[in-house]
Amino acid sequence: MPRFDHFSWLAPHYDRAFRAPDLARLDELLALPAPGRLLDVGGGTGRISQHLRDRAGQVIVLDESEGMLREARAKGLPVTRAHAERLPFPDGSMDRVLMVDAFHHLADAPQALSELCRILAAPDGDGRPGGRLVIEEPDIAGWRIKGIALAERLLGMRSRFYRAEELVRLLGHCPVRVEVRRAGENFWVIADREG
Amino acid sequence: MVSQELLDILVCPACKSELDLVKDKWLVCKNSACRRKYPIRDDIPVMLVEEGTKHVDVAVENLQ
Repeated sequence: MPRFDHFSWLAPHYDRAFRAPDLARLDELLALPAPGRLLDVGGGTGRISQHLRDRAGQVIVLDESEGMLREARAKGLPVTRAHAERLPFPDGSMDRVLMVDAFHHLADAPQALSELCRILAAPDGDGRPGGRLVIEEPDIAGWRIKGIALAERLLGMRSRFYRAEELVRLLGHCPVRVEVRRAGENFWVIADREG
Repeated sequence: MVSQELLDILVCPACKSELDLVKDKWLVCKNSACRRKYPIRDDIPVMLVEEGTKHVDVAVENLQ
């Protein structure tokens, strides 16, 4: 039986229902503005990418939900429908990959991380750094986030919240240098592609 | 229209081979062992492996 697509149902209301992104923090974490290609994985309606498109060479929104992507298209953003576990991009093709509030919806987190690292650009040896992956997630250590996790489960959404340490451990198979930051109810995992 | 910049970079999500744009509506995997075909619907390339697999046995000239 097909799963109920919560996101297509939410799409027309999504941008109003959710908090505005912290653009100053994303600029800092992604080292923007900068040229190069940025992929917004689980970027949905493009609520974040619409702010980033003038801050990177090319911004692409990828999502599983057709309804969400229609909203992003309406904003004039390039979009593609795909799973993070099977990305339609060549090895080393992205300078930046961003995933905000989407990691807990993945069907196969280890496979997705392997794909996200695969598409990161490798350092070119002439001083150009490797690509960077930034994952923002709610910190399940907090009680309010535990409540959200429970609500999503009751709604039948496919959610599994990871602690930052688990995410770092899963990245152990990828050629990246990893850093974790925390603020408020979120954490960020920053992974820089190495050799 | 799907932007040329996006079309230039998309590959088959299953085998990562390059794609041919057919009739402005399909992205066809160039790998003869894969042959998956991905539709472009409402300017959104649908790069889901299960979607591409549905059209494996459809000849390119018969794609609608």
